[in-house]
Amino acid sequence: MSETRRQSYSQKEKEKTFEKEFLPHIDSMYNFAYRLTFDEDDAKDLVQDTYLKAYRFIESFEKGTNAKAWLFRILKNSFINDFRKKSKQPSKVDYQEVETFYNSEDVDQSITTDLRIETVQDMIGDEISNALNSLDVDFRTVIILCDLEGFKYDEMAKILDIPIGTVRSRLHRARNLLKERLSDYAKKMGYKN
Amino acid sequence: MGLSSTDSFDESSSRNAQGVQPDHKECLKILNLVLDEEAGPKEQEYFKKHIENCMPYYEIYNVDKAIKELIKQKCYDKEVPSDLVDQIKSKVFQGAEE
Repeated sequence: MSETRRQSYSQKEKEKTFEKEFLPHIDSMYNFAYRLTFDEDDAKDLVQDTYLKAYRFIESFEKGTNAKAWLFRILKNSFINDFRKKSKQPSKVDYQEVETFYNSEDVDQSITTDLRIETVQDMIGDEISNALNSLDVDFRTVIILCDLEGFKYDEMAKILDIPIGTVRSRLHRARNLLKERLSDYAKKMGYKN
Repeated sequence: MGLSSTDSFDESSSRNAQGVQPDHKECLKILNLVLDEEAGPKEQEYFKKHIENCMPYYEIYNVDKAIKELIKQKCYDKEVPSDLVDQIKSKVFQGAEE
Protein backbone atom coordinates (compact mmCIF):
# COMPACT_ATOMS: atom_id res chain seq x y z
CA MET A 1 0.00 0.00 0.00
CA SER A 2 2.83 2.36 0.80
CA GLU A 3 4.71 1.79 -2.45
CA THR A 4 1.80 1.92 -4.82
CA ARG A 5 2.36 3.10 -8.33
CA ARG A 6 0.74 6.43 -8.99
CA GLN A 7 -2.46 6.02 -10.93
CA SER A 8 -3.69 8.43 -13.49
CA TYR A 9 -7.23 9.66 -13.10
CA SER A 10 -9.19 12.06 -15.25
CA GLN A 11 -11.21 14.65 -13.36
CA LYS A 12 -14.37 12.64 -14.08
CA GLU A 13 -12.80 9.42 -12.84
CA LYS A 14 -11.66 11.12 -9.66
CA GLU A 15 -15.15 12.30 -8.91
CA LYS A 16 -16.65 8.95 -9.76
CA THR A 17 -14.18 7.03 -7.58
CA PHE A 18 -14.77 9.43 -4.74
CA GLU A 19 -18.54 9.13 -4.95
CA LYS A 20 -18.84 5.43 -5.72
CA GLU A 21 -15.91 3.94 -3.82
CA PHE A 22 -15.05 6.31 -0.99
CA LEU A 23 -18.28 7.93 0.20
CA PRO A 24 -20.23 4.67 0.74
CA HIS A 25 -17.89 3.90 3.67
CA ILE A 26 -18.82 7.02 5.58
CA ASP A 27 -20.89 5.18 8.21
CA SER A 28 -18.00 2.92 9.14
CA MET A 29 -15.55 5.80 9.05
CA TYR A 30 -17.65 7.97 11.33
CA ASN A 31 -18.30 5.15 13.76
CA PHE A 32 -14.57 4.38 13.90
CA ALA A 33 -13.69 8.06 14.31
CA TYR A 34 -16.16 8.43 17.14
CA ARG A 35 -14.81 5.39 18.95
CA LEU A 36 -11.32 6.84 18.67
CA THR A 37 -12.14 10.38 19.80
CA PHE A 38 -15.33 10.00 21.88
CA ASP A 39 -16.40 13.41 20.64
CA GLU A 40 -18.91 14.08 17.86
CA ASP A 41 -17.23 17.23 16.59
CA ASP A 42 -13.80 15.64 16.60
CA ALA A 43 -15.18 12.58 14.83
CA LYS A 44 -16.73 14.79 12.20
CA ASP A 45 -13.50 16.72 11.69
CA LEU A 46 -11.51 13.52 11.51
CA VAL A 47 -13.77 12.00 8.86
CA GLN A 48 -13.83 15.21 6.86
CA ASP A 49 -10.09 15.49 7.03
CA THR A 50 -9.72 11.88 5.92
CA TYR A 51 -11.92 12.41 2.87
CA LEU A 52 -10.10 15.58 1.90
CA LYS A 53 -6.79 13.74 2.08
CA ALA A 54 -8.21 10.78 0.19
CA TYR A 55 -9.24 13.06 -2.65
CA ARG A 56 -5.99 14.98 -2.64
CA PHE A 57 -3.95 11.79 -2.79
CA ILE A 58 -6.33 9.81 -4.98
CA GLU A 59 -3.49 9.00 -7.42
CA SER A 60 -1.98 6.74 -4.81
CA PHE A 61 -5.19 4.73 -4.54
CA GLU A 62 -4.77 1.71 -6.75
CA LYS A 63 -7.91 1.12 -8.77
CA GLY A 64 -9.68 -2.10 -7.93
CA THR A 65 -8.10 -2.46 -4.49
CA ASN A 66 -9.85 -2.25 -1.16
CA ALA A 67 -10.96 1.37 -0.77
CA LYS A 68 -12.27 0.83 2.74
CA ALA A 69 -8.91 -0.41 4.04
CA TRP A 70 -7.16 2.49 2.30
CA LEU A 71 -9.51 5.03 3.88
CA PHE A 72 -9.19 3.45 7.32
CA ARG A 73 -5.43 3.69 7.04
CA ILE A 74 -5.63 7.41 6.28
CA LEU A 75 -8.08 7.95 9.12
CA LYS A 76 -5.90 6.06 11.60
CA ASN A 77 -2.81 8.07 10.55
CA SER A 78 -4.70 11.36 10.80
CA PHE A 79 -5.86 10.40 14.24
CA ILE A 80 -2.33 9.61 15.41
CA ASN A 81 -0.76 12.67 13.81
CA ASP A 82 -3.37 15.34 14.39
CA PHE A 83 -5.88 14.29 16.97
CA ARG A 84 -4.05 12.26 19.52
CA LYS A 85 -1.93 15.26 20.47
CA LYS A 86 -4.83 17.53 21.18
CA SER A 87 -7.21 14.86 22.38
CA LYS A 88 -9.27 15.76 25.40
CA GLN A 89 -8.98 12.25 26.70
CA PRO A 90 -6.69 11.46 29.58
CA SER A 91 -3.25 10.73 28.22
CA LYS A 92 -2.70 7.25 26.96
CA VAL A 93 -0.11 4.70 27.78
CA ASP A 94 3.05 5.51 25.90
CA TYR A 95 2.95 3.78 22.53
CA GLN A 96 6.41 2.30 22.78
CA GLU A 97 5.66 0.97 26.19
CA VAL A 98 2.57 -0.76 24.91
CA GLU A 99 4.46 -2.37 22.05
CA THR A 100 7.16 -3.65 24.37
CA PHE A 101 4.46 -5.07 26.49
CA TYR A 102 2.92 -6.95 23.56
CA ASN A 103 6.22 -8.24 22.42
CA SER A 104 7.02 -9.73 25.76
CA GLU A 105 4.31 -12.00 24.45
CA ASP A 106 3.82 -14.82 26.88
CA VAL A 107 0.54 -14.85 25.06
CA ASP A 108 -1.47 -15.72 28.09
CA GLN A 109 -1.60 -19.44 28.29
CA SER A 110 -4.11 -19.21 31.05
CA ILE A 111 -7.82 -18.94 30.64
CA THR A 112 -8.32 -15.37 31.72
CA THR A 113 -11.91 -15.17 32.73
CA ASP A 114 -14.70 -17.24 34.01
CA LEU A 115 -17.28 -15.60 31.78
CA ARG A 116 -20.07 -17.93 30.79
CA ILE A 117 -21.97 -17.84 27.55
CA GLU A 118 -25.29 -17.27 29.34
CA THR A 119 -23.82 -14.18 31.01
CA VAL A 120 -22.63 -12.79 27.69
CA GLN A 121 -25.98 -13.42 26.09
CA ASP A 122 -27.73 -11.57 28.91
CA MET A 123 -25.79 -8.42 28.20
CA ILE A 124 -27.94 -5.94 26.42
CA GLY A 125 -25.49 -3.68 24.70
CA ASP A 126 -24.25 -0.86 26.87
CA GLU A 127 -21.99 -3.20 28.77
CA ILE A 128 -20.18 -4.37 25.69
CA SER A 129 -19.95 -0.88 24.24
CA ASN A 130 -18.62 0.56 27.51
CA ALA A 131 -16.17 -2.28 27.94
CA LEU A 132 -14.87 -1.71 24.42
CA ASN A 133 -14.56 2.03 25.02
CA SER A 134 -12.64 1.45 28.23
CA LEU A 135 -9.79 -0.33 26.43
CA ASP A 136 -6.61 1.51 25.54
CA VAL A 137 -6.92 2.91 22.03
CA ASP A 138 -4.56 0.36 20.42
CA PHE A 139 -6.49 -2.57 21.82
CA ARG A 140 -9.81 -0.92 21.02
CA THR A 141 -8.71 -0.36 17.45
CA VAL A 142 -7.90 -4.01 16.66
CA ILE A 143 -11.25 -5.15 17.99
CA ILE A 144 -13.10 -2.53 15.97
CA LEU A 145 -11.23 -3.41 12.79
CA CYS A 146 -11.61 -7.14 13.22
CA ASP A 147 -14.95 -7.73 14.90
CA LEU A 148 -16.93 -4.68 13.90
CA GLU A 149 -15.58 -4.00 10.43
CA GLY A 150 -14.58 -7.54 9.45
CA PHE A 151 -11.09 -6.73 8.18
CA LYS A 152 -8.77 -9.70 7.65
CA TYR A 153 -5.45 -9.88 9.50
CA ASP A 154 -3.40 -8.88 6.46
CA GLU A 155 -5.61 -5.84 5.88
CA MET A 156 -5.29 -4.87 9.54
CA ALA A 157 -1.52 -5.19 9.29
CA LYS A 158 -1.54 -2.70 6.41
CA ILE A 159 -3.95 -0.31 8.08
CA LEU A 160 -1.93 -0.28 11.29
CA ASP A 161 1.56 -0.63 9.79
CA ILE A 162 2.43 -3.57 11.99
CA PRO A 163 3.37 -7.21 11.23
CA ILE A 164 0.62 -9.85 11.15
CA GLY A 165 2.15 -11.49 14.24
CA THR A 166 1.62 -8.27 16.17
CA VAL A 167 -1.95 -8.03 14.90
CA ARG A 168 -2.57 -11.50 16.29
CA SER A 169 -0.97 -10.96 19.66
CA ARG A 170 -2.58 -7.55 20.08
CA LEU A 171 -5.97 -8.97 19.20
CA HIS A 172 -5.52 -11.85 21.60
CA ARG A 173 -4.55 -9.50 24.41
CA ALA A 174 -7.38 -7.09 23.55
CA ARG A 175 -9.94 -9.89 23.74
CA ASN A 176 -8.69 -11.03 27.09
CA LEU A 177 -8.85 -7.49 28.45
CA LEU A 178 -12.36 -7.09 27.09
CA LYS A 179 -13.41 -10.30 28.79
CA GLU A 180 -11.90 -9.15 32.07
CA ARG A 181 -13.92 -5.93 31.86
CA LEU A 182 -17.09 -7.82 31.03
CA SER A 183 -16.46 -10.26 33.81
CA ASP A 184 -15.97 -7.42 36.34
CA TYR A 185 -19.14 -5.88 35.10
CA ALA A 186 -21.05 -9.13 35.39
CA LYS A 187 -19.86 -9.54 38.97
CA LYS A 188 -20.90 -6.01 39.90
CA MET A 189 -24.31 -6.55 38.42
CA GLY A 190 -24.67 -9.78 40.32
CA TYR A 191 -24.80 -12.06 37.31
CA LYS A 192 -24.00 -15.59 38.27
CA ASN A 193 -20.59 -16.44 36.93
CA MET B 1 0.46 -13.84 3.45
CA GLY B 2 -2.55 -15.49 4.99
CA LEU B 3 -0.66 -18.75 5.20
CA SER B 4 1.92 -17.33 7.57
CA SER B 5 -0.64 -17.89 10.27
CA THR B 6 -0.07 -21.61 9.92
CA ASP B 7 3.63 -21.39 10.79
CA SER B 8 3.11 -22.45 14.33
CA PHE B 9 0.91 -25.32 13.35
CA ASP B 10 2.38 -28.67 14.05
CA GLU B 11 0.81 -31.68 12.45
CA SER B 12 2.02 -34.03 15.14
CA SER B 13 -0.14 -32.25 17.66
CA SER B 14 -3.08 -32.91 15.41
CA ARG B 15 -2.44 -36.62 15.91
CA ASN B 16 -2.19 -36.05 19.63
CA ALA B 17 -5.67 -34.66 19.56
CA GLN B 18 -7.01 -38.10 18.85
CA GLY B 19 -5.46 -39.37 22.06
CA VAL B 20 -6.40 -38.66 25.63
CA GLN B 21 -4.12 -35.65 26.10
CA PRO B 22 -5.05 -32.89 23.69
CA ASP B 23 -2.56 -30.07 23.22
CA HIS B 24 -4.23 -27.02 24.73
CA LYS B 25 -1.45 -24.62 23.85
CA GLU B 26 -1.74 -25.39 20.18
CA CYS B 27 -5.48 -25.08 20.41
CA LEU B 28 -5.28 -21.68 22.07
CA LYS B 29 -3.12 -20.41 19.23
CA ILE B 30 -5.65 -21.57 16.68
CA LEU B 31 -8.77 -20.41 18.51
CA ASN B 32 -8.60 -16.82 17.28
CA LEU B 33 -7.79 -17.94 13.75
CA VAL B 34 -10.92 -20.07 13.67
CA LEU B 35 -12.98 -17.32 15.25
CA ASP B 36 -11.82 -14.79 12.66
CA GLU B 37 -12.09 -17.19 9.72
CA GLU B 38 -8.35 -17.04 9.17
CA ALA B 39 -7.63 -20.71 9.83
CA GLY B 40 -6.65 -23.10 7.05
CA PRO B 41 -8.53 -26.40 6.57
CA LYS B 42 -6.00 -28.38 8.66
CA GLU B 43 -6.22 -25.93 11.53
CA GLN B 44 -9.99 -25.96 11.41
CA GLU B 45 -10.06 -29.73 11.46
CA TYR B 46 -7.61 -29.85 14.35
CA PHE B 47 -9.60 -27.31 16.31
CA LYS B 48 -12.90 -29.05 15.69
CA LYS B 49 -11.50 -32.35 16.93
CA HIS B 50 -10.00 -30.69 19.97
CA ILE B 51 -13.11 -28.93 21.18
CA GLU B 52 -15.21 -32.05 20.71
CA ASN B 53 -13.27 -33.54 23.61
CA CYS B 54 -12.45 -30.45 25.59
CA MET B 55 -15.22 -28.74 27.50
CA PRO B 56 -13.24 -25.67 28.69
CA TYR B 57 -12.14 -24.83 25.16
CA TYR B 58 -15.57 -25.49 23.78
CA GLU B 59 -16.88 -22.91 26.25
CA ILE B 60 -14.14 -20.37 25.60
CA TYR B 61 -14.75 -20.61 21.88
CA ASN B 62 -18.47 -20.10 22.30
CA VAL B 63 -18.02 -17.18 24.70
CA ASP B 64 -15.56 -15.52 22.31
CA LYS B 65 -17.92 -16.09 19.42
CA ALA B 66 -20.86 -14.64 21.35
CA ILE B 67 -18.83 -11.55 22.27
CA LYS B 68 -17.75 -11.08 18.68
CA GLU B 69 -21.36 -11.26 17.52
CA LEU B 70 -22.50 -8.91 20.26
CA ILE B 71 -19.90 -6.34 19.28
CA LYS B 72 -21.16 -6.46 15.73
CA GLN B 73 -24.75 -5.98 16.81
CA LYS B 74 -24.28 -3.39 19.54
CA CYS B 75 -21.27 -1.25 18.79
CA TYR B 76 -22.30 0.20 15.48
CA ASP B 77 -24.34 2.89 17.04
CA LYS B 78 -23.22 6.29 15.83
CA GLU B 79 -25.29 7.86 13.14
CA VAL B 80 -23.46 10.05 10.66
CA PRO B 81 -24.52 13.71 11.03
CA SER B 82 -26.90 14.43 8.18
CA ASP B 83 -24.92 17.36 6.81
CA LEU B 84 -21.52 15.65 6.78
CA VAL B 85 -21.64 14.17 3.28
CA ASP B 86 -22.68 17.49 1.76
CA GLN B 87 -20.01 19.37 3.68
CA ILE B 88 -17.35 16.95 2.50
CA LYS B 89 -18.53 17.07 -1.10
CA SER B 90 -18.65 20.83 -1.19
CA LYS B 91 -15.14 21.11 0.27
CA VAL B 92 -13.67 18.45 -1.96
CA PHE B 93 -15.22 19.54 -5.23
CA GLN B 94 -14.97 23.24 -4.56
CA GLY B 95 -11.28 22.77 -3.81
CA ALA B 96 -10.85 20.81 -7.01
CA GLU B 97 -12.27 23.51 -9.20
CA GLU B 98 -10.05 26.24 -7.85
